[in-house]
Amino acid sequence: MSELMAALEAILFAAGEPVPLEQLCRGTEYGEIAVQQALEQLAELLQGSGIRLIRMEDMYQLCSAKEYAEHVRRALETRKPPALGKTALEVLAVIAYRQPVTRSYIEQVRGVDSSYTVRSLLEKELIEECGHLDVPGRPVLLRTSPLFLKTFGLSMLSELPDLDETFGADAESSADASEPETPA
Amino acid sequence: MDHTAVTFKLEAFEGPLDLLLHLIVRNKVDIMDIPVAMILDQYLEYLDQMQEMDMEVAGDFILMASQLIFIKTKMLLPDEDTGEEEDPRAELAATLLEYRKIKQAGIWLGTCQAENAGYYSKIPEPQQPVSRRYTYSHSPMDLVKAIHEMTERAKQAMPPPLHMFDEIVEREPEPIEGKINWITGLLKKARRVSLKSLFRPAKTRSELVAVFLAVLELFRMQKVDAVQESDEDENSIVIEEKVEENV
Repeated sequence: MSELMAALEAILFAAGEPVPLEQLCRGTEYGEIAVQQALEQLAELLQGSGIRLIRMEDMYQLCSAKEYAEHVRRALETRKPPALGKTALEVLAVIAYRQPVTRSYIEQVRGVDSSYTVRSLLEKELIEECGHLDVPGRPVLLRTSPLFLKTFGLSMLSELPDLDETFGADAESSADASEPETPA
Repeated sequence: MDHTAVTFKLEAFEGPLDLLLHLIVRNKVDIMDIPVAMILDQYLEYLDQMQEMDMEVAGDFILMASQLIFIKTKMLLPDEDTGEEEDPRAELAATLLEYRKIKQAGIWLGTCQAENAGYYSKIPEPQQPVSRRYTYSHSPMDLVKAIHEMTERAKQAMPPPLHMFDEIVEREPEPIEGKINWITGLLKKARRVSLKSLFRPAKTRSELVAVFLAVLELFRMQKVDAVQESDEDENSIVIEEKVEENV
């Protein structure tokens, strides 16, 4: 392991939470390209351990590997948090694909009041507010958060499958239509 | 169509669009060419079932019913204008298509979530250690140095320049000196006076203050003593001339 890799590992371990690339460069006094390369190598090296280096757009974070989630839960006696329900997933899908969006846009797409779900997603920090739309009333704009990417195993938003191509299938029973591969 | 056979798992729908999609798939019809009359009948039947089950029919469902009725009416009426009018179902079809994509995306996100659950991360190292226990080590000489510096600083400390008080004490409407003379005069005659009586003749607040400062000044100069004659009565404080016995 190079000294840069070791330094990055140290920073990410101490931080715990996602660290922006820029901060990693400042801490190590290396340029973005060198740091990014070292991070890739570090991620590869960690594959053999219980730790994973995950990326969320321009942020990096050390996590325990999901393969050992059961062990972690048993040892720390944590309960498996409840997974998101159908409604929450739909609201997230609208935000993820059409962001930034207003609450009323979400309701328009889903045809049903979604304010409770939006509030719950904000509390879960899966979405965040990002300014106001410049129309009368200045409604709040919403977008997905880094935690959203982590939750769905994405490194960046561009990894979301194309909405029209993947989910615009004409098949009547589209629920059973061939599903795209899920990211590992 | 056999309407009576239509049974739904109630509550299973995310909203009116979800219900409509279900009906469209169930009847194997095209979103772009919805048989509005038939779908509307089945839709209303669902709302009836909701009411039978004493469920509150959400306003969104009723709004959609009214939209469907509107579309149905528009389609029944002959075109007044022979011009190419837009299909009254076009907007609904577009809404349904977008919703269907989002619904599928939501299902996909659900599988992603299930497959990626279990990444645990630790909370950041606190900037301020939780225990606040000090972790550095010092030489005892650091303490000596600190004391030394402190005494040096005290020696050099200057009283604040007088002009800083200029605005606060612009004038002295009631010279304290005059009050001191007045009090010592009283004491010469009476040897002891009650503290309270000193304030009685004061007419203004600044005069009160002047008297009070004068008393304090006399204490400082060790010219007077105060005696409280009764423990209960704080008004019984008496000022008397100090007997300079130990000079």
